[in-house]
Amino acid sequence: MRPRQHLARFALCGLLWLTGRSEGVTASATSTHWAFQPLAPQTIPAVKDASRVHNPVDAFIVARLETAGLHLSPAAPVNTLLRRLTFDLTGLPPTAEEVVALPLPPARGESGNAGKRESVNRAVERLLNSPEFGERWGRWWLDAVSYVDVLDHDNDPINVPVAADKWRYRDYVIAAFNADKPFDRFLLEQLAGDEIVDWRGADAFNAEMRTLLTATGFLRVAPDTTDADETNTPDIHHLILQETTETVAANLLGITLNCARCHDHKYEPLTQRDYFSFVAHFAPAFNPQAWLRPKDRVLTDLPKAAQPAHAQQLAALDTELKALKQQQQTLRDRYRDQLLETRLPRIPAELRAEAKLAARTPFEKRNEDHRRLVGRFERLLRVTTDEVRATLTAPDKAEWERLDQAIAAVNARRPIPPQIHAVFDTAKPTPVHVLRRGEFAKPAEEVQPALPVLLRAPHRPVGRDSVEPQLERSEPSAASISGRVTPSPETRSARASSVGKKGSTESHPTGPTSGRRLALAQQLTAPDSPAAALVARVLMNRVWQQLFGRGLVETSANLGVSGARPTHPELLDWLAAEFIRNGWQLKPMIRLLVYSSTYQQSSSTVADPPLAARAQRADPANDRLWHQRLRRLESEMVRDSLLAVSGQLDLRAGGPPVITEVRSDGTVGISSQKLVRPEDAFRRSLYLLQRRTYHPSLLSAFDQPVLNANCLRRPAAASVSQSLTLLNDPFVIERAQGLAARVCVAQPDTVARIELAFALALGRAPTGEETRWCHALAEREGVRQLTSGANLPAAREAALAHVCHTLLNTSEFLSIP
Amino acid sequence: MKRALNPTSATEFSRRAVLRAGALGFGALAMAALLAGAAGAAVSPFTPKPSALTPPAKSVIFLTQVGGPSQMDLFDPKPALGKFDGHPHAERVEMFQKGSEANRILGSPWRFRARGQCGMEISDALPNLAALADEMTLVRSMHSEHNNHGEALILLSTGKIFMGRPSLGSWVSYALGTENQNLPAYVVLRDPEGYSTHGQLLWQNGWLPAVHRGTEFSTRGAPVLNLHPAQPVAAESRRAQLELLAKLNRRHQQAFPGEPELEARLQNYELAARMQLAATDAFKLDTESQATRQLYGLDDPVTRSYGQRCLAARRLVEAGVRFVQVFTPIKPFIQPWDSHRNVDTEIADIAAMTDLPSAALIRDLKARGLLENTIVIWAGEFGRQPVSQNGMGRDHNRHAFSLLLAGGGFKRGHIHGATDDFGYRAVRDRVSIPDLHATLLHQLGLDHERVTFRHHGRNETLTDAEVSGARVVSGLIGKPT
Repeated sequence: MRPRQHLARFALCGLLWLTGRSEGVTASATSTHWAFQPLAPQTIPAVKDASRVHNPVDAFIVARLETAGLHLSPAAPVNTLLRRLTFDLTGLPPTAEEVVALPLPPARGESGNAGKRESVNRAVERLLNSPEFGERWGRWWLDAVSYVDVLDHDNDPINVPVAADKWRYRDYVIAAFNADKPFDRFLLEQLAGDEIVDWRGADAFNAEMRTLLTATGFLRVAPDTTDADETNTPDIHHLILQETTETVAANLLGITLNCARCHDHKYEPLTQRDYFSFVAHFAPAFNPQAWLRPKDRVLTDLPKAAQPAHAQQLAALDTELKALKQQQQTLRDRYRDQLLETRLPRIPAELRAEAKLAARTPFEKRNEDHRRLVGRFERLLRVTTDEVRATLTAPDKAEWERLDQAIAAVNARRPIPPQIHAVFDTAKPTPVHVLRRGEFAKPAEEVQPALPVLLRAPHRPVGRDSVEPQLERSEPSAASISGRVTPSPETRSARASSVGKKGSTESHPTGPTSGRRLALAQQLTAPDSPAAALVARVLMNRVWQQLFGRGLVETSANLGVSGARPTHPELLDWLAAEFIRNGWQLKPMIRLLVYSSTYQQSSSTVADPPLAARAQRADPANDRLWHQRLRRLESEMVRDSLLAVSGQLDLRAGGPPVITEVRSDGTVGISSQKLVRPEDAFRRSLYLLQRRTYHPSLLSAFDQPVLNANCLRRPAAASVSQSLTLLNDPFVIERAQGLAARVCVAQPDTVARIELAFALALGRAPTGEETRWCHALAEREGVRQLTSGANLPAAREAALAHVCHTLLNTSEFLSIP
Repeated sequence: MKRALNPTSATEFSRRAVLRAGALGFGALAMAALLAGAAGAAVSPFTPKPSALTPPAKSVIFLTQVGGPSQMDLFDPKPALGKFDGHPHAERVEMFQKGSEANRILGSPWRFRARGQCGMEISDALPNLAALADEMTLVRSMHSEHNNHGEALILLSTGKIFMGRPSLGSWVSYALGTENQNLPAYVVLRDPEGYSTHGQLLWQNGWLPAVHRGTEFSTRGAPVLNLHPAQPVAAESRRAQLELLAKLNRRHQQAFPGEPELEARLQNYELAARMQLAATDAFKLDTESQATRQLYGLDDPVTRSYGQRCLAARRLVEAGVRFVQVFTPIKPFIQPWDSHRNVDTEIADIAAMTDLPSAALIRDLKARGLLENTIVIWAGEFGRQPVSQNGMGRDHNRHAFSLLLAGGGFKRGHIHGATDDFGYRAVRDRVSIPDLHATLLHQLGLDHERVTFRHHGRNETLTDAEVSGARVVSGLIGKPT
């Protein structure tokens, strides 16, 4: 028998392979899976050669390298490190001043020195505290959330239903990263901000309510098409609820819970019951039985007292609008009748009277027979607005246009108070059921909100006084660990204040709300819980991925049984425990990682030839991290770098997105007509309109992910379209000219100009050979420009632009070294 | 035996190589050279894959008819509709939009005639395609799963209604590679005016390597985005620039020997230049004879745009491109076959733009001996209702639609399957979209259950036969296997 077709409607049936496969998963087979275990206390491993062990991270890495007879590569040159750090912490290249301010690179053969270490430390602190840090790491989070500025599928390239003010969530995220808001609090606000403050009873939203309500934008990412009648159906309501749930699970739990929508999971210890128990947390807010359309979910940020006046104002405008439209309609009807009179004689006489009546009746009021009649003689009886406009007399045409303008003017006067795309319970919770085969019409047993069973099991708690090594208190036992990192004074005070505020974990639901999401948030970060252990592992693995190009678990979206094994399980657990012990703060963890010798080692595979020779056999895939990984810039970094090096980057933060447009040639770019200020065209890519598919062409070429679901790892493949873009795209060529102009203003002679261009574009000085090559190209191009009629300064600048354009095409420009 | 393909057969395919390859695959050449030492075999995702047998088809041209062409007005004559025109239909049809509440039967305004030797009945709406009845298989028993354009188009493209899976063309590119290494394996020709519904989502690679995503070529301006510099550059300047770039990149590469992406990028700059020539050549439509231009309707403003896409499709297939997907015009409606208001005038308008060029393509391929090993498929995402909507229109209908197949070993002058007396439901020899996909792959020499890609711990296939029940429809093909 063939399976029923409608199965595919709701199931992520890609994962429906359960039926027909041999054996199921036994609980015992998976209950021992590493990721679902509590965080075991980790002993910092002993190493033979502790000279490179700067902090515990290095001890774990070096110990594992030593078992294969390997060691870390030499430290990266300081300018390389500065470039790496600046991209990793801010998403931008270092400025020329920063490059030039570096101490001279040590002579060959001489390793780091105190001056070098100190300048790197200074850079780290400066970068961690810069506002651009939140933009870079906010982007990291927004990927995982699948944040976009639209609500629906966004499948129409041209007509983009931009959700006004949705960007407030993006700004909330950036601010949270800059303030290093502890992640337990951060998650609580995003999952349940609406449940911990009585915004319903407030006369006006205060700053705290705004923040907490805005934070729930976290849950407004699943494509919601229910503003349109055709797609405001129960199946879609259930789908939105399910996709919202699955996005949260993929992001925070790193498990493929979505596979359990229709059947028990084949490879993971997850049942369909687990799936719907998890869904139940979100069901009161996305209740298929009490569905709210997107337009009804938006909260208007207006004091209660001002709301009647606001409503009145809107009503008055509507009345005005109606009158104007009526005038236009009258004009239209008059012309339609004139046109009909000329055409009616071509309709059979016996039908003429009926046809006239039918054509003059508005469509909605026509009966079925009239509709058929008009359809049958459509080319005669259907009078389009275009036809009417084409026949207007001059005075009527003027009147028509006046009315058009008046209508636009009324619409422009429509007051638009700030809006918040919040999530809140829409009604008293209704029962949630397991849905057989994932079909909403087939409810099975009822479930209560709960974590998946595998995260519920009581595990042996990890006591605060366990032997677990701790950053601040315990001293390293095994290796001699130099230069231990402790949180900076600022972070400490931020932490203290947030902990003070953080009564959060003891928060109780406020107002008429189920408190289910609040309970979930609390469970996900509950001290010593298996859930918190998993969440911390998932997050730390993605932080590692961001800084080392690959997670300790390569499949960062899947830490389950079917995912990859961690290369350094003890290190991942140690990081997760350290993260929790640090009050779930990210900056201390990032600081710890970027200070490590592991992070700071060279990415070159030949920096130490004997090591490379051994590693080619022992660890060709670099699983043990005997060198840092060379990474390609992410899409936003490419565009932001082009703007930064040309001196044109506009660092204004926050606010409504810069509007983009899809052009008929298929390219997507910034809509110049919709720019609020000209410099907006040069803002960071994070602030451009975030769509699901139609990204600006330059960003698409560099693998900007399609956000129908969330993205937990950016792909980075070299494609010929990238080469074509860098060679021929007008935006890139203009940035090369900008860089040339900037360099020409700053330096008088060609060699100095080339050196400055290298410093800006590649973060280093050119070698003598490179200077000669570039100089030769500039000379040749300059002569060519002169012979084709350019004057000397113009020829010199054009020649330099040619060199600059070449630099912007290099692999090195595209690399985090 | 049908060819199987899976990521574990290392001699055919290196997963690492594919993941590292360029979006248009050119990096793959370089990588093949690089990896040759290690793997002992040349690996490129686009290297034409040898086959154990000679499959009927080498390439596919998919004429995607967006909007849901009306089966009972084009391909599936239903005298009962005329007989009971205006009467309430006994069965309450599944409505999608408003306007069909009266549930009254609508006879077709189009006249059907027996065509060719085979006597296949096709309406006067498509006189040119109808004249080729003896070349084609007409499937009258297709059915979809969803009544919304978006979901149904995604299903037609990827085999499932939800987004995120690879499209048919991506699977074919992945499985078969291409014969011209200077052009992508999977080319999309959409209306240069813009995108149809769901635009790029219809040629997504899903979780297959990005190299297999459909590449948009344009029949207007430069065929490929950024193929030519935005500002004129003297050839001599460009040459000198590329020389410097190569030197700088090679020097940089010395610190990272064996890093495939760096080598791929180096090669990409050389290959970009080669593609400039290959892509430009493929689009030199003005080198075609006047007779050919006339055949495709290039001199008529109504047929010109779609005609250019059909002609370009033939040239691309000639040049060795594996899969070409042509889309219908987007003006005045982005879903041109979506005749909600009037199946007379709305069908007449879109047929006038597309019938002649679609037929021209089949004729031209046949005249050049290319039709034998090129599959031409003419299909929309679903069908329409037997009852009227908004007077003379018809609403969406997922239960039945018709499509055409020509060339590539499909039967000639053959009708497959049937609907009920009112054309509402496919009832005999029903064909699902996964069935269609399985059959298309079969004609390309591929076993739909054995062309797999490992994703999230599962060997994924285009048809997901375990769930969809997809099977090769032997009734459609000349010599059933």
